[in-house]
Amino acid sequence: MPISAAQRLLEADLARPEFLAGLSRGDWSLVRPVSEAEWPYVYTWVRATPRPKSPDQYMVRWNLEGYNAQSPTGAFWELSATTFLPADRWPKGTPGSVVANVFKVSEWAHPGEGFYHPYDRLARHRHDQWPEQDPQHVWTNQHTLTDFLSLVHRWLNCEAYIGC
Amino acid sequence: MENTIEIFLHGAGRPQVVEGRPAETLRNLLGRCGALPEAGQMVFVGESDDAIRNPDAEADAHEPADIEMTLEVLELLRHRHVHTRAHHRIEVIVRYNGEHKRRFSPAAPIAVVTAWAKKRFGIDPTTGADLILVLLPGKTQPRPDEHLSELLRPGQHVLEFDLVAEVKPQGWNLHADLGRTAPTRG
Repeated sequence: MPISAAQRLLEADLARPEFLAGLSRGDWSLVRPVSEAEWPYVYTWVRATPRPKSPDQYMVRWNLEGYNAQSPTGAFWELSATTFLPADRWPKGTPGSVVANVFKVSEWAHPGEGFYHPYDRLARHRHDQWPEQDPQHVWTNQHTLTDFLSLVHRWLNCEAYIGC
Repeated sequence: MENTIEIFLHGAGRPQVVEGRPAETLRNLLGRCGALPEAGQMVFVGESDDAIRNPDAEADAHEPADIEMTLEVLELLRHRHVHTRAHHRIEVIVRYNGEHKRRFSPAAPIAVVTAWAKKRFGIDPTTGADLILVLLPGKTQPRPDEHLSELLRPGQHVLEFDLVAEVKPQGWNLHADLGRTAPTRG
């Protein structure tokens, strides 16, 4: 089966300096190379600031179906159990913070299966007001996975992140 | 075979990844890439975090590189980033209940400028964690790893930012967030 246009686009984006610079800093990495067999799923590590009893990196499984005309959806993932990371082990933020909001694991349609952010395809669904609320985060085909990945990295490395 | 160094080159069109040899001069590398500076332009190596270490100074201390030196001597294996065709300093103005100014190295990343601004405004790091920089006039939000040199338009020497709270997406109501139809009143 030939590689899809979406996978080809992603591979081109992963060769861009924006992704490679984060890789060289250790901010993120691919868990394993992008493969046709696993497409549209891609697995990345994202480094987190050390917090007591919390990992120093989290795995994110991205669903990149329709990339990049469609936005990604991603969620923390447990590779050994091949399932979403259990809700009690998702990273947490100080109450009321953006971190707490984007990583919330209750009170929305897909808790623990996506990030509550306009870039996330699952979360964006049924939130027609978000482009008006947050015009800076309207996904277009000019965006790349690195734009989303760098946000997740920032949330996991800001003072509002308190561990899991 | 001689090892090569992967370098992130900024300032000559879109950022690009180029390979250099430790023994070649920076001038040679920039020439190969069509990225030599013109008269009055400078080249910086690495990233500047002067503003975090010395937030009260009026300007960064990061100085341009001598492009006649080799990549090895310039420690590019460690520094990785080269900013060509740059101004010596970029004046940055940040507004948030007043304003603070500083003349930054073009190699300062947005994360450093954000941290500096929070220090200068006396913002507690935890309560101010949701504050981000938006670039004026368009209010675009640069990535934390973008460098000031990448944000300048041709001929521009000054960048102005607002320090604002990051938008927290909200649903209209819990029913919409839960993917249900809201109950109707009879």
